[in-house]
Amino acid sequence: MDIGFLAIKIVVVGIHRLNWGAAIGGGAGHAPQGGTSGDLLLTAVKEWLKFISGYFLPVSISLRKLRMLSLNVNGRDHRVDVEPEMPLLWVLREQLGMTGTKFGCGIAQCGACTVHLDGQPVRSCSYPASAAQGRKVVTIEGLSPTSSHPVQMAWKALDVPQCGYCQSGQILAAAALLEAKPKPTDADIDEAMTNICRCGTYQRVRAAIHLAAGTGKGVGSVIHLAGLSPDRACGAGCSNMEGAKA
Amino acid sequence: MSTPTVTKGLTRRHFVVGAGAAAGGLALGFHMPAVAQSAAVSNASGQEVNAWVVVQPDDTCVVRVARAEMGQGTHTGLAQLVAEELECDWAKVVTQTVTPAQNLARKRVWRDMSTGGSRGIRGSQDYVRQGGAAARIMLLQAAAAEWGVSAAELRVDKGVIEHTASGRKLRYGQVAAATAKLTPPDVKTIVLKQPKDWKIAGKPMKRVDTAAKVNGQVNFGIDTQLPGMQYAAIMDCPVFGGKLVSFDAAAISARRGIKAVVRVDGSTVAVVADSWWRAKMALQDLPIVWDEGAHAQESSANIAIRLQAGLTASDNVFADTAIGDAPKAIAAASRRVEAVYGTPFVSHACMEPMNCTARITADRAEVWVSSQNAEAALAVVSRVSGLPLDKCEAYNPPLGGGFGRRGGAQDYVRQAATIAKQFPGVPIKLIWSREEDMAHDFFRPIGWCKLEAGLSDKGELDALRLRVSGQSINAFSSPHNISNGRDRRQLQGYYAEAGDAQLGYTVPNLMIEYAMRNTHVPVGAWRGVNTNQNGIYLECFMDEVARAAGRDPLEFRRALMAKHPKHLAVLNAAADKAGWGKPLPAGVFRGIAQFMGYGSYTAGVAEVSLQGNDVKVHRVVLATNCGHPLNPDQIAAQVEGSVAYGMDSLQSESTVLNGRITEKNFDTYPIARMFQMPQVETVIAPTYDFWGGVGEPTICVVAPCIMNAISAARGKPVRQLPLQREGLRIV
Repeated sequence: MDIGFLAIKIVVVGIHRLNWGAAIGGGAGHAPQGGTSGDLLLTAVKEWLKFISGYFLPVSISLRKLRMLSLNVNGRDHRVDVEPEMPLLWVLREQLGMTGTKFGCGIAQCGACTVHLDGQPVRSCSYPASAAQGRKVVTIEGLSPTSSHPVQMAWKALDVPQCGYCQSGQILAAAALLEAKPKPTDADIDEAMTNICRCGTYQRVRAAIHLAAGTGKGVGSVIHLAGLSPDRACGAGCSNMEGAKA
Repeated sequence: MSTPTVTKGLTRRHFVVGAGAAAGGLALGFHMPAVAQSAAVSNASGQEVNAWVVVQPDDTCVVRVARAEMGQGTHTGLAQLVAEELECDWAKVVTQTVTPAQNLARKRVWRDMSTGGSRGIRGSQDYVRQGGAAARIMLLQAAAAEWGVSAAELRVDKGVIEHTASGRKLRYGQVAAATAKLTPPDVKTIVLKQPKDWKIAGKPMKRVDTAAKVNGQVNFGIDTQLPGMQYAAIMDCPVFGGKLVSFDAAAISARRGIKAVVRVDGSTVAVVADSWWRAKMALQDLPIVWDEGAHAQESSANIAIRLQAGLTASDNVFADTAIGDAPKAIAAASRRVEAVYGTPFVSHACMEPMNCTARITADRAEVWVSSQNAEAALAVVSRVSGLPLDKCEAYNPPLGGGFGRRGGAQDYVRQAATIAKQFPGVPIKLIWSREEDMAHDFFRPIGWCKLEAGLSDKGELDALRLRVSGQSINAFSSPHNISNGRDRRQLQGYYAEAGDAQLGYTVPNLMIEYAMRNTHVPVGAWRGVNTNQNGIYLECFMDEVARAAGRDPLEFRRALMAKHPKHLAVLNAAADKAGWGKPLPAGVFRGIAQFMGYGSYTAGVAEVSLQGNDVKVHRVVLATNCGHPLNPDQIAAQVEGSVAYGMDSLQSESTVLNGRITEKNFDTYPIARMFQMPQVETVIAPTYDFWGGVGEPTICVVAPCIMNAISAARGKPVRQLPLQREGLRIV
């Protein structure tokens, strides 16, 4: 092992530390989720130690083999030949062909790339793949074998998705929330669900989380019917508007 | 899924209808509702009854759709319309996306594929219903022939045909093959069902595409995977109108995975690699020399000065409406009100960044692209590749958001095809970074508006003069739509004529003008387009005038709307369901607005409280009359989405500095999040005498009703967006 490679590794570890902050911090100026930050930092330290230990491996191991990362994704082990700093998102999408995890912003802001790392929601666009070694990665494809996770069932019951692009991340964030807080309040949901949805499915996301949790709370779509009924349709020129008045 | 290929690069549940299949040799993508998946997957073939309907032996009814699904539910709605007339079992309906090449090959039997302007349902409801009805007639004819009876003796329910006299029954799947020998009915003889008899249309049916959107199986354009695929990251000159001078490819070409650095056009460079992340990281470090051109000193502040000058200038201005003599009446009025409003550039920021996968060989050019206009994508591919249309194809998977960004321009298709042309046979997946996406959008146009009102001594609105000074979408993208310098599109929602976007008020002296003032920034359609700004200008000003007149904002509006009963009815419906006039908790204030766009009437009431400069939006009640409400649950979804997208435009701005856009990601461009969302209530107030849009119309009242509530709360009008310019923020 030459000095150059050692230097690369040190740089890489530095990047890890920078990116963990972004990946953990999450959304819209909110406080990070309680506990998560500390746990992950602890894990980060362990990870660093694991990394340092790599320097003492026998020199006979080729550089290429050293570069191979071992990842456990949805219960299956994978070996991938990528740079340690390649974000987990791109390993999942391009190396493993698992495209359910989405690219949205690349800076851990939008949450479209959310996956579980040992059960914790992590924004994989800003999380180095090497830091996921030795942990259990769960993506939307692995949340349940038959789309029967309570969150997925609730999502289907309320027809939550519109375009659907952010929904893998929304669902994984919601599943992690319910793991941590089985009966979340609206305030819990506000704090944990910082994922961006441009279609504006937030109201149904909130309702579906309550439905999955069985809190008996949460309002989904509120629809008032007014106007005319089909058998009293507005006639020619629509002069008869009584029915349409409040 | 570690295999590198997916058959069509579309959804994992895509499969190919074999060339020998009765569907005419079409290779199409199927998207199935949960209930019908297994049945359809087990039997992909079937009998094409007509262009809209394929019936499989197990009674699965495949409904073909030509419009793009970007979340607005148009696939579900169009399937409902066909299924209603087909009289099939809704649980056995699946949808199938047609491609533009197939449409061309069949003389555009599926007609317009463009999906914008809230036209998906209203623009195709007649011919798709006729398609469903024609298929039903042929299936009944086939059964009648089988039994040797008259079709008039038959009835059908949920795809089961019954000869009532004998009790004999046949399922659609059993008779479909026999329709091949039949002549389709003359469309003029088809009588469509009355809305009062609808069983599927008009009902809150579940979406056909939800199941695949909760387990990662739905594949958007960005999820396309093809054998041997390479990836491209791209950068356009940050200053609009600038040029690419040179780049130092050698600085990055030795990096792992880098295949090439490509000059795409006069202002754009791309890095091609075996991984998008590698391409993007290398592009970030690529030394590039730009010629930033004539606009490198341009800024939002400069633009504002020029647009504000347009509010009083006399050049390049036209009056679209001039009733009575508004200037004179205002000058003579016993009380005058005047205000200037401003709305900024805003970005679409679709969750799925712009992308396109292209593969071009000497005799075939294909793209896989999430597009609102796959036919436009096809045309671009043909132009770039130099191949005729019949050697091109544009596969159109679902869109991760569109909102107008993925409409006619297809700039990313041009880029992907240009790059792919340099690598014959190699599929190239071009993905824009979020930064590129937000720096090179077609932004909602910037605008200013001056409004003047003259009140009579009784406090009635006697005169109104309104002038918009702002950028024109048509001037940027479709100048042929401007006749004699009169660009009416920028006055959307202020039109005198009935139909699409009519002004809802009658004012004795009324003048509405537009001063075209363009900038170097590309502009385009943004959900709701010009009804957004125009709704804000007029409806916020109406509150100012009502307050000056000492009137309740609702009562003040009602007095002007007697000649516009549909506008009035929707305003009344919103006010009624919101409890307008009823007591509110201490510190909570209401705002109201009404406007029209895309053939539908909308009104909204917001409830807001203010803590210092922090705005909390508690509740928004939105009413719409879209004529025929096709799916109440999906109307509610669109209304809820309009609130989120409308709230984004209250707090976001794409600022111009040094000729380029400053806000390039979500850390600087705030998007409404869960904690900011109010409770949304949807009021569906139909009149069943027209077909109006749903996806866009309600957004135009979201911002003004919230702004009016804020103004009521702080006792001072909100005239500038984003709210940060007024020292406010949404919490």
